[in-house]
Amino acid sequence: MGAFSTWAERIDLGLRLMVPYSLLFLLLIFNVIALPILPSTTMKLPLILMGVYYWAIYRPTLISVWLAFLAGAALDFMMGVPLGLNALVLVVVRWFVVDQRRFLFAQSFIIIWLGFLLISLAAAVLQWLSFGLVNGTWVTLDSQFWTLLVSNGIFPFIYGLLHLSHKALPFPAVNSPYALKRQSRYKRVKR
Amino acid sequence: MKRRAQSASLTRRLTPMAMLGGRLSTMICIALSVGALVFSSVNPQTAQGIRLSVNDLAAPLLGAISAPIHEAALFVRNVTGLAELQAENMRLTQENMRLREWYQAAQLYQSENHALRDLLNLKAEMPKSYITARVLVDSGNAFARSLLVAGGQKDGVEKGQAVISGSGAVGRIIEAGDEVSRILLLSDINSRVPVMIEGTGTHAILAGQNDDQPRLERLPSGYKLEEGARVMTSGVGGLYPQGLPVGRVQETEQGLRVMLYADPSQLLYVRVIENREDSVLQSIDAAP
Repeated sequence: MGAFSTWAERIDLGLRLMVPYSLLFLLLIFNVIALPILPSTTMKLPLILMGVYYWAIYRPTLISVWLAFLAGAALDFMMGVPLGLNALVLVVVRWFVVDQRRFLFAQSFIIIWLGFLLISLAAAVLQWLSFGLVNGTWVTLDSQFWTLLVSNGIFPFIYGLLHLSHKALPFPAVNSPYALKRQSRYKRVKR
Repeated sequence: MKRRAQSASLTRRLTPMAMLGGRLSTMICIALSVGALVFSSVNPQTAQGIRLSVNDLAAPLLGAISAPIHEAALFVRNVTGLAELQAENMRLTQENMRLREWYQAAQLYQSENHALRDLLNLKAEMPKSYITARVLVDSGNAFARSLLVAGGQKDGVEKGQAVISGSGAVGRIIEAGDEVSRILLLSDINSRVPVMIEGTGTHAILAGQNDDQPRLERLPSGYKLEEGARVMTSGVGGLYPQGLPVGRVQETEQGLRVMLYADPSQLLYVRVIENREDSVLQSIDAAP
């Protein structure tokens, strides 16, 4: 067990791990639930995509490919869309972002935000293509444009929440902005 | 020192294996997703069954989470509505005066209608009963327009029943589980509803386009559709009762479309019409 030998430490680790997973779960629920405040039947914000994108950059081990697949499958079941549609998108997004994380990892928030814009655009196109190919109907993407706009508008807020949940984790990922900040703080205290 | 070298060597050997394992998992997940997409397209009935079971399992959790959100939405509506109350009150007072005159006329027509029905010995329509259900989930994307509601077979909800809100027709039940049911909205690309234009009696098919404004198809050749015409269900086929208000014809960038009366994004509750003529659906269900 190494670093986590005592029960107290194990419980502490378990509780800390629960924070990001609970947030991911909430994002999943808010992704599907009917929100009568928004025009939600025309605009469904891809909140879980934001979670997958964030963790694929900063802690890919936290959101495994299987977890991304399961989250996508849960969305498919609850939203009534063809099974596999969201699962495919989340798995591909995770794969691509993990592949590019060496670049994304050290980037500023603006670049991460821009990256999400491109990823959400690519995700929408992938969904449209896979739906069209399987069903033979090519739907218009007018509503998707507004969804992209609003979801990118609220991305900083969701990023902030995810970043807060990241702080609860015991081991910051090596070279992550949070880890670097924590290391420099530690050095200052030591001096 | 020796131990550290051994550990480094092990890490070097394990990293490509872990990467390979990760890639393999990704490929398996992609294959599973594509397989599920094809499967749900080829065999939608089985996919529906699986979906219903999952939704039935998730229903208590979704219900518990959506309840406070609905309460909050109601509170927000009530608070924001306070400012508009005075104007609303004046409008309602005027409307009430107009409606009183209509009420007198309606009573006259009703008694005349009853007398004529008795005279013709017309078969009276069965009175409708409703099941009220809370909206849990809305799909809300370019690929599907549906609502998941907290009401299933245990509550008397069945596949094919029409669903209405206070404003008009919403859609029909396409999946009915034990605890939850899915409504296919009128705006869904798979929705086709027989309708008629009020006043003219012209029949048409309301075809969803996965946007907010469905199209009218199968209008008689040469028929000139006019902006502002009211559209209601014709009752043809028996899935929808006759006379449910659907929407109003409106000029859009894509031509004349139907602006639906019921806005599904603002719905907290819907009413499922319990009594319907099952002729069409029963024949579909009975078909091999």
